[in-house]
Amino acid sequence: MTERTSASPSAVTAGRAALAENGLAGLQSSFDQSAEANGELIEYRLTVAEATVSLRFASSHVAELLTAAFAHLPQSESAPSLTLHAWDAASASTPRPEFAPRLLSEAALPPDASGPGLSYHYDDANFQALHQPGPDVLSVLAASDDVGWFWTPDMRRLPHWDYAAPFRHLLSWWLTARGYQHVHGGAVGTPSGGVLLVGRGGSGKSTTALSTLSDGRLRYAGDDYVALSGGEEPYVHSLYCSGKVHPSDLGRLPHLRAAVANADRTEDEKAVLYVPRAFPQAVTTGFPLRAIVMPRVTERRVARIVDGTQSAALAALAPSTILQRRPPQPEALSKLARLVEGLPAYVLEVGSESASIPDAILEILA
Amino acid sequence: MHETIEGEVIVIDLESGSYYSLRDASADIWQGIESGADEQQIADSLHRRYDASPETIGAAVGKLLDELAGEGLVEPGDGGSAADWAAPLQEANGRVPFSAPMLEKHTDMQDLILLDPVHKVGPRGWPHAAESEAGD
Repeated sequence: MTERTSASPSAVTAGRAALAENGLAGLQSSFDQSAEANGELIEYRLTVAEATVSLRFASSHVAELLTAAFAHLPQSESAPSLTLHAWDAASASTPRPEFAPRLLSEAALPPDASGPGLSYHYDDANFQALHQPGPDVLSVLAASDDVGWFWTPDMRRLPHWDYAAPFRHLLSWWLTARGYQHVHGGAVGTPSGGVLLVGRGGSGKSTTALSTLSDGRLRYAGDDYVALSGGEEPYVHSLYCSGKVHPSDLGRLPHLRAAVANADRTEDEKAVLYVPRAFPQAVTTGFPLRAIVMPRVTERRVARIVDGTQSAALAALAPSTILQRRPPQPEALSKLARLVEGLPAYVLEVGSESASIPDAILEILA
Repeated sequence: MHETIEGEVIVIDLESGSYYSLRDASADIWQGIESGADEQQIADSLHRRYDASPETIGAAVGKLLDELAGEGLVEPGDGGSAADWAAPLQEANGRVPFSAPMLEKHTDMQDLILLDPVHKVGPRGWPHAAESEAGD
């Protein structure tokens, strides 16, 4: 993804009537207003999980922030299957879209609002919407029209997990509607096949995936979220070329430093890195899925692979995938169970010598 | 919500974020509950498969049912209408050793539920300043 094209705001006309009925037309006009005020309308048309997605931005700084994680995806000339719009209020001092809920006073928030991730979800036959009052981020998808919107007052204040995995909720809803499964897991492999790295946060997925970059034999498809297509030949579709690590882990993974994008903010947040910035040859758009791997941090020196069970693999994959989804996606459990049943499961005992990880993974793929 | 894989039952509680695994006799008991069998039917069928006294098995079944009810995974009194429940078969080479059924509980996802709760918004739309809860 190296070029950008300009498009007229009036080019977006799909489904306007339906949107007006739902009161969503104001979102589109808010985006158009911001683009006009900025004098910019930037479009990237990319191939995401075998379909064309148009990403439209009302300012270049929003585009820059939200496209870095897609830098590895090929451009597409085809008509888009999905068009997403992203803008903020700050870049052109435009008003808050009418659709976005007014922020609640602290006293009016529900008791569980103390957490940073409280969200409100609405869906009906025509669209679904998610508002996260903490960061004040709005995601809306009109699935029947294949159009979505992503707004926040000031993109410069977007949480790091949102710009490391942009449009996460919108893409997970859209992928689900297309029969793909958006999963919580990392993935590395070769063109002929790779592994899905599963486990709860802190289990070593990111460290394992990112450890392979300097070796050069495995390609990187993601460290946190990927899309899967199912059937008898499951396939990993990379969504993001970003990665997140605790800043303290950069000492053990010094090769990653050149790819870190937020080095000035790692006192408060995880280090976010974009793999192509340091390892342009290491990224991939996907590969056939050959095995499920559960990393375990151990006291060993050299990493090794041992047999795992499919039930443990399902327990490592399903709860975090289902519960991280907004709203939770109970119907995914059965799909994930069928996926896991068709694949061998392994435990990767990660040791202090992270350079030994690629050998252990390649042993599975041989 | 639950799923069985390799004979092990994985149960996820969407409300609490806890998830559970049930193996061996526990998985048999869960399948009995799912099939509508009552406590006595479950105990009887386990006795045909596992090498332990009816008293030992009966007490273990009751204990697990209490645990499941305590976790909110089953309602007390669930079951009781499964005359045709396909109970676990007796092994060809005799009954197998019995281990007390365990409910293995995992709470590592609970923080996600506590920190990132999702409220479903009803037809009245987003919460408003005058309200203290989502509109459903």
